[in-house]
Amino acid sequence: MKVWFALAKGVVLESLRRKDLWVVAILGFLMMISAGALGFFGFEGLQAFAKDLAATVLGLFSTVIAVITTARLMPDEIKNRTLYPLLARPIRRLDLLIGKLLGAIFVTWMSFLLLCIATGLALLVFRVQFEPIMAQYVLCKLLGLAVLCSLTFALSTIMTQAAAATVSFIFAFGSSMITRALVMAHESNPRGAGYGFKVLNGVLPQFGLFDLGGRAANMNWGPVPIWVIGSLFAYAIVYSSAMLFISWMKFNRQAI
Amino acid sequence: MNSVLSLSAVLAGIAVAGIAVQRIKPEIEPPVGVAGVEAHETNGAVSLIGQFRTTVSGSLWVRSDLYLHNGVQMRPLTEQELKSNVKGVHSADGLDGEMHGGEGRMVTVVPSRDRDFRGIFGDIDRATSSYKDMSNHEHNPPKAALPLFRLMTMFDPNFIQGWTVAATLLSWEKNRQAYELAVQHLKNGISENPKSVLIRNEIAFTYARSLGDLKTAKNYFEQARALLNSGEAMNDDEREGGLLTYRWLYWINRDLGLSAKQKTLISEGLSHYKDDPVLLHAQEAMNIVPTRRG
Amino acid sequence: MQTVDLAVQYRQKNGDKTMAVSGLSLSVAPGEVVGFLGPNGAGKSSTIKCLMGFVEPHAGSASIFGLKAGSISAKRRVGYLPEVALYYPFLTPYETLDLYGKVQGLSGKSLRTEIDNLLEIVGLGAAKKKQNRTLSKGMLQRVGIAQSLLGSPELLMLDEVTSGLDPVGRKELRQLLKERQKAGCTLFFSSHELAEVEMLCDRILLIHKGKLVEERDLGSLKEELRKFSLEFVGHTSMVGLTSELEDFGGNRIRANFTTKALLLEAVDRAKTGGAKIVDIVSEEGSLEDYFIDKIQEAA
Repeated sequence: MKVWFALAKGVVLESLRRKDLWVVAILGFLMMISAGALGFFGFEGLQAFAKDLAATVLGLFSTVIAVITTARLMPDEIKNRTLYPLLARPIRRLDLLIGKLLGAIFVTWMSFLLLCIATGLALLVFRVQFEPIMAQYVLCKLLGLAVLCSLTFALSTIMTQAAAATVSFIFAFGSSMITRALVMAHESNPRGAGYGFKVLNGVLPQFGLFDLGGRAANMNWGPVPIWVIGSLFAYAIVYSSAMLFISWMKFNRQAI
Repeated sequence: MNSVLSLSAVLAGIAVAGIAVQRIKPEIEPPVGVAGVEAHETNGAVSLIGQFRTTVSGSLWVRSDLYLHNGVQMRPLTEQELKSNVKGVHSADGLDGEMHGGEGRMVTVVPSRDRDFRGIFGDIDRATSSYKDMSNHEHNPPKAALPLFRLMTMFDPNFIQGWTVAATLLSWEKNRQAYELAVQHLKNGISENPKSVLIRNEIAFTYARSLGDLKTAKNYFEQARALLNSGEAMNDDEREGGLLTYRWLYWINRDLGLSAKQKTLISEGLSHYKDDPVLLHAQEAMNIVPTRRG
Repeated sequence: MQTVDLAVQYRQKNGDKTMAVSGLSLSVAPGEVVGFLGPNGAGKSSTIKCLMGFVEPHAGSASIFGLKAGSISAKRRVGYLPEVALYYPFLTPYETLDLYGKVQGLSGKSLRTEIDNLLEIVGLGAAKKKQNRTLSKGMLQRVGIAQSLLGSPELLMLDEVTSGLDPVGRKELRQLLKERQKAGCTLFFSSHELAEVEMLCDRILLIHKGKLVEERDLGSLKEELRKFSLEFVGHTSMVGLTSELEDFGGNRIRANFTTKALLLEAVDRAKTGGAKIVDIVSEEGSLEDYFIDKIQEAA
């Protein structure tokens, strides 16, 4: 456990010093401030729009950070040979993978929470009131980002950094669309391959489920039931573990 | 030997292409001076800003529909769904038709439980996304979307639907004050789009249907008609909007008892819209001998 | 540390397999300083990677302190310096060592003290708060050396240890390694620098094309390579001592001998025979030539 956190701390420190995180935070803040300016200069009644924009900005930037931060971790370790002194220590390769993944998740979470604060301040301009669904939105988003990091991490151990990032972006941004397409395809052919559809749906990452942005942005949506949050939490653990297992299967046998 | 031949062929090909390009170049890229380059760059920048404005207002248009449904994403039913009698809504209060150009019955993008094979994933999806089943289909107060429409027309003043739908929302309360506000808004639209048939039509509709002022309505329809006959270049939406101009002018003149004017309008309307069943029917009803249609 | 019939094979991107090490058997006793030599591509790094568990052996076995090479218990007792490592560019040397120390299982004040000491020893005390990306290649190598010494390992496995170091740095490193050896640490290092090997090692292992071609005690090898000669004027027979004679004319002769004992006997004969001794030379032979010869023989 100590080893994992030591490795994670290294990843976080590197990311902080790289300043990518700050660039993204500033970008997000600027975008929200410009939206805030609209509210300030008399466009009353744009709360839903402002919240929707906030959710979009948060979703977009946190996804970019998650994918970019995670996709380069292992390929960079191998390319820069920083892996050797680490693996020469009394640790298992699985420990290294867990530590690195945890680091990526922490960086992503930190940047997301930073963006949340920035957008929260900008939303104040629109006199947007806090609602419990917003806290749930943040919680579920954190879980979804952890799943995204795990997926990207697994992909980065089996393909190139660029390919892993591209595939992750496709899944992250297209998850809901893929699900809708599956549902419609299943409707068109319910008898043919019903079981196949279920398997495919189970295997594909369900990022759409973690996005409560639609509810948080619009009016009078009550909090999501606790069983849903629990299920999402369980899903995040299971899916991330599966992705970690895939990474380990590949990396454990890999000659470095 | 083969590789030498291939290389020679490639080189010959490149040479031929080079000569051809030299010949074509002056045709596709006329010589321009510094002023020309500046003008080109300025046009490019303006066009880029224009595209941005159009994109922003377009995306706001999409979002406005979403906000009206309180985040519930809707889509029209597919042919197959229509055949299999999937439950959908049909313009519950006219707003869906307004926003989707009367696309017919709508259904939620997130499927209802009975149509979803995903089991618990589907249940979670319905619990986390802004989903309501079709029996709970409702709209937010339409006027709540007005600021968004203001934003749309602020970004892109030439976005005609932004003006017309906003007028519909403004007159939602269906009282004189609301109608007058809508008319005033549309007049602002005309000052931004002096050649718009659609906005003039919308003003005329409001006068005719809501304010009962046929004369003023007729005046705006006539303005639209004049634009249609002026030979000005206009897009398909504007041109198709002209069909309603002629139909309504025909009906208003009928109500005003101006039959000679009606005949002129039918002939003129059919010269623009030769297959319009309403105008054709009117032609038959008034025993007008068809003239050569253009 | 031991390898028995070790074979390491890599699969190339085009699917072909390359045998980097084949049938390599070697052993290093505790407390020894062993130089692992060979030309580029000989299989030195592959052998070390296998000993560190970075690469699984295709055949044979490797062990460290009787433990499976690459196992956690074996790695706990080993310090490793890779041939080329960049270390985390945005961390400082202190943070780098802190990270490795914690991964090693060290923590608290003892770790902080050890890091400070090591950074002083390798001459990075003043640069411990600079980010690695701002350090020179030599300074980064010092970071590497410091990290390999973390946790006082019983075996130091150093791949091209002097790479990037200036002459002063090399001298300091030699001193440092000698101190570690005195403290009972076993040193196993690969190098192209024969001078370093000569100055540090007890024994050398020469590898070529993945196979061990020579294993020698450095002291005896040096003795073997040493050349002795006696230059004299006069008539003295060297029969039975050497046949390698160079006649410069005017009875001036230079006789070459393979051992010091033969040289001393020749000096006695020359004195007894009344010859005038002009020069007595005892010079070290070239290790470089010796290794080149050995590699050419193996090839």
